[in-house]
Amino acid sequence: MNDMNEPMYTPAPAIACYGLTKAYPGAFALNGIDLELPRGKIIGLLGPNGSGKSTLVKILAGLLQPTSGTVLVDGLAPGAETKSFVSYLPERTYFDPAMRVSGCVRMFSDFYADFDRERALSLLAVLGVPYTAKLKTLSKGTREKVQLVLVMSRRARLYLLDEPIGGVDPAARDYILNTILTNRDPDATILLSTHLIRDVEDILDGFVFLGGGQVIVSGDAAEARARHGKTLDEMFREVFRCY
Amino acid sequence: MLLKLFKYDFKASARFGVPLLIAIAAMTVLGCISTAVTVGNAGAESFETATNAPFEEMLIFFGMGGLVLISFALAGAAAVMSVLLVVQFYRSTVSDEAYLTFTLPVTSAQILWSKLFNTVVWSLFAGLALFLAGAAILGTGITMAGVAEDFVNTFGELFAFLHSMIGQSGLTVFLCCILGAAAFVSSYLMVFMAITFGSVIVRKHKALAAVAMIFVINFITSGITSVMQFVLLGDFTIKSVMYDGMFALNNFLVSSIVLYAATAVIYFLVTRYMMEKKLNLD
Repeated sequence: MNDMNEPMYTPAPAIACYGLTKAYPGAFALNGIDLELPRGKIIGLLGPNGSGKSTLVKILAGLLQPTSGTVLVDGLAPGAETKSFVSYLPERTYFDPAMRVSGCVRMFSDFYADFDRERALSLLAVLGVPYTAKLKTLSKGTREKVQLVLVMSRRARLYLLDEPIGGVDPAARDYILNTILTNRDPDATILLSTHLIRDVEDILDGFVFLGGGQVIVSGDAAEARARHGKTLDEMFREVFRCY
Repeated sequence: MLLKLFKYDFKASARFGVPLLIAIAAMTVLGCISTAVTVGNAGAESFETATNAPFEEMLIFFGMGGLVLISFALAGAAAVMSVLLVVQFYRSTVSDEAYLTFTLPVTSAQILWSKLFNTVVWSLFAGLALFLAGAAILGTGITMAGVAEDFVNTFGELFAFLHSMIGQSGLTVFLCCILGAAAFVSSYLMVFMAITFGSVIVRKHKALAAVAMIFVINFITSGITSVMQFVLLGDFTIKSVMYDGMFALNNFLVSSIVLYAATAVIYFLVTRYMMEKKLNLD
């Protein structure tokens, strides 16, 4: 029990957004989002195309600047410090195609103190990715796998995964999702942005439905399923029927 | 972290830098051969008997033609190196690779310093390679013509003349070197700022916006620095030229260095600010 004289320590939420807005000429990508996401959970950021999912993830990763509002990652504004514990997987491949897979592994090893090289090598071997191959000689799907392996081989506090299963075949999806599940630390938070809800539904602890740049509904996945007697996928189809 | 960034920037540049340096070396060999063919066949004897020696004439024609082409190719190699270094900056800060660059746990200043060091180092490599290429081709010509001793004497006289012209002062030469370095760094930082600025103000056609910004920023900066130089130094220089030309020249060089250094600092700070506060990777 805490001593009454000692201040109670409440850890900052993994992600906090207050009045977060991102505006482009003539349109709002995000429109006044208020959101607090707890630590240690796998949260689905779900929404149709153009709902603002990628924009939110990029702002959290520090790649986009919000027009207004506050965004905090583990209590800090996105910057060099947060990048040391945030592992971000974009929806596009970002390595120089002339690099070799081994070079990519070395690069992550050099820059990220939390990178687990052995884990990366093991995952690459299981996925059959040739370690010495140049990226430009690999298929798009394999390049995406390389990126996913590297991102998930970090012992990060927050994983931001933007459409991690969008470009891979269904057979690889299960393996990738299993990789995500088995390779994260229990305290780590995963924000998984996707519109392929059926594929990820089983692994989600929480969800955020994003539509038109606004949070439509968010909460605990199991609780929502129990309350509505529907799967997240069914709820999604219902909510976004008109989008 | 800066050293690590530099290591990866250097490696990325090596993918085009090394082949370019090899190409310069190969062109140097061809240049030496062309020079040897030209000079070797253009001796006094050949000229006198030129009408009777069409084969030599043909060799001279091809040798000289080759030399001209190689000279252009060498100059082109330097230009290609500069363009590729700028393209590398664009790719790693604006295109898909920017997603990697800006998610590394480093500051924008470190990214910028790394890119700048890398550009300077590879430009120095290219400059040194071109200098050696020129020296090798010239050296071949002098040796083949058998005028090495004359050349050394002539060069010595020329150097002595320049030395006396410069006023027996190393200061002016030193200032010229500093000015060159400041102008070089400032120019690249201006291009970096233009690329970053272009990527911030538009969502599509970022490359086009970057090129347009290079012209706009260059135009504005040239205007401002010219006016500032005239305001700060113009009248003073005109007066001092009447009394001491060398003193005036040094003053001009110093003022130019200060202006280039100031613009370089401004370009750096503005680029860093935009990377930190205005970055928009759509």
